[in-house]
Amino acid sequence: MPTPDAPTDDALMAAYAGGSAAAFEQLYARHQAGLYRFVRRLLGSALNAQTDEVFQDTWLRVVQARARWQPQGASFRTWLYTLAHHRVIDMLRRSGREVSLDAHADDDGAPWEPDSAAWQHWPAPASSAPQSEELAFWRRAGEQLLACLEQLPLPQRSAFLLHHDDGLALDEVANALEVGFETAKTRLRYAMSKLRTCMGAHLAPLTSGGAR
Amino acid sequence: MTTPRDEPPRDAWLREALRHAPDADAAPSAELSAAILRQARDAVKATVRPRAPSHPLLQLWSWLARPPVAAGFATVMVATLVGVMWWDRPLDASLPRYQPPAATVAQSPPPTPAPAPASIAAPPTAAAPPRAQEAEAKAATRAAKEAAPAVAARREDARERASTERARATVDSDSRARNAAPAPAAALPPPAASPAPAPANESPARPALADARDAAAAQRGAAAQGLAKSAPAPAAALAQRRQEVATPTPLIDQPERWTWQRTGAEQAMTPAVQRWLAQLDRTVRWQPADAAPPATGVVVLRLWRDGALHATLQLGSDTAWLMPAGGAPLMAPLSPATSAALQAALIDATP
Repeated sequence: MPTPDAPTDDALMAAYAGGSAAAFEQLYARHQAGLYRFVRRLLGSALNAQTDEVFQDTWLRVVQARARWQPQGASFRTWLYTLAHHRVIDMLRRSGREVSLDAHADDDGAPWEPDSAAWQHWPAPASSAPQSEELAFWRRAGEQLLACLEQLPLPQRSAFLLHHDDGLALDEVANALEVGFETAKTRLRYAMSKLRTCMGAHLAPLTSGGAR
Repeated sequence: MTTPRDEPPRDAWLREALRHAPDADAAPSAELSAAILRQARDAVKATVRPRAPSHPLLQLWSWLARPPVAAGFATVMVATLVGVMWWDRPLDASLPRYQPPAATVAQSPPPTPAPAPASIAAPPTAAAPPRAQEAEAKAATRAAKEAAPAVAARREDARERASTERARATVDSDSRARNAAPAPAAALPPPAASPAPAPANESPARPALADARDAAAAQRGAAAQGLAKSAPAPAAALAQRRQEVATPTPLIDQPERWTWQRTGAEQAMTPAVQRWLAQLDRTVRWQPADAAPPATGVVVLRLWRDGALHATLQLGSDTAWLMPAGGAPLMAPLSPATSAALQAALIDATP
């Protein structure tokens, strides 16, 4: 994360458009890890090998569009994830996968009911120094979450990842996915519900102690 | 912006699961990052222009080095060079030239020194614009070249004489109008009014036929002037010029003052005799005679003007003779075929 005195992403992008290669290096250093994870998780395990290609293509789009980029509306980070999202959709379509942009295509229309029962026996997530048993649990939870993510439609998956992993606010998520705020909110709610259901069904709670 | 009330809370358990996912530490490889950064740097280098030089001459040089400016400058330079190269050359050199029939070009007369151009002695008309005068000179040059046989010296002579006639015609517009008219009785300017100096190799008393030849060249030049003014298309001018050559223009002005005599009594000038004189004029090239004409074996034609003998023509087997009254005789070598053709034509014209 940039320090308070560090230049903003928009300032760095403007500097790069003006010819400063160092500004691009700073931008890359800030966002390369999060963007790489986002691309990798959106593509899923089946297209994991194409992560590098999509990642590089996204940054090259940034390079090519530097002259016409204007810091209006969305921030640089939002724009960057928009480019990546488009590249992922292109890759999925090229690979022959059906990409549905309708987040509710596989829903049965029933209203979502939060089910917190599955979480009651899980360890608390905020523990700074988890015990070895808890650490093993969260690693299994991470593996399970990745598997559950692949079962989500792409719009819900991207909304969840942008909101929970990359820390974008919901309006930024809406901007990045180029949808309305309510649409983004709905996608996020459905994604969280399905993930909770998926995680509670396949991940056994700790048997000793840690439940709160 | 979303308010905290609108912003849905992040699920802490799911975030913790994401943080501990196997790919949480996934990152692009060093090679991939280096490639991306290199491409970003290369893109910047390709678009960053060098700083403009501060010195005015360097700025001018830098401006000239731009491809559009350099191309335009080179075009102007080439156009200037070509214009200078062709500045004083006649533009009709590339036009198709009239090739006279082979029968009329029987023998090439030797070239003679060209007289001084009359256009130098005669000042141009003040009212005539320079471009019009230039066009007239080119038309006269083209007319002289096309009318005369294919001998360079003779074409040059005709062109200069045409220039002389143009100067005369500029002074006297009525005379030029008569010259341009295709009527048989075309005006023949009096020799005394000619502003051009006489060539050194000609007799002081200018023969009538030589005058007539000069007048014919001048007349053709004047006709060419008229063509140049009236017909903008070179093809039309060339076609009309060919028609003129095919129909010889009579050389004698005021034919009522002229008579001829061959075998019998004097007879009034006829168009047939005038055409024959024009044919002779196109064929021969007079030069000072170095021997006396033979007394026999020749066809003789005497030309009278106002009742006085003006000149005597004799056609031998290989030579034509011209003896002006009171002047030095002239001669012109002929091929036997040409001489025979001229004799036959003369007999036909003077029955």
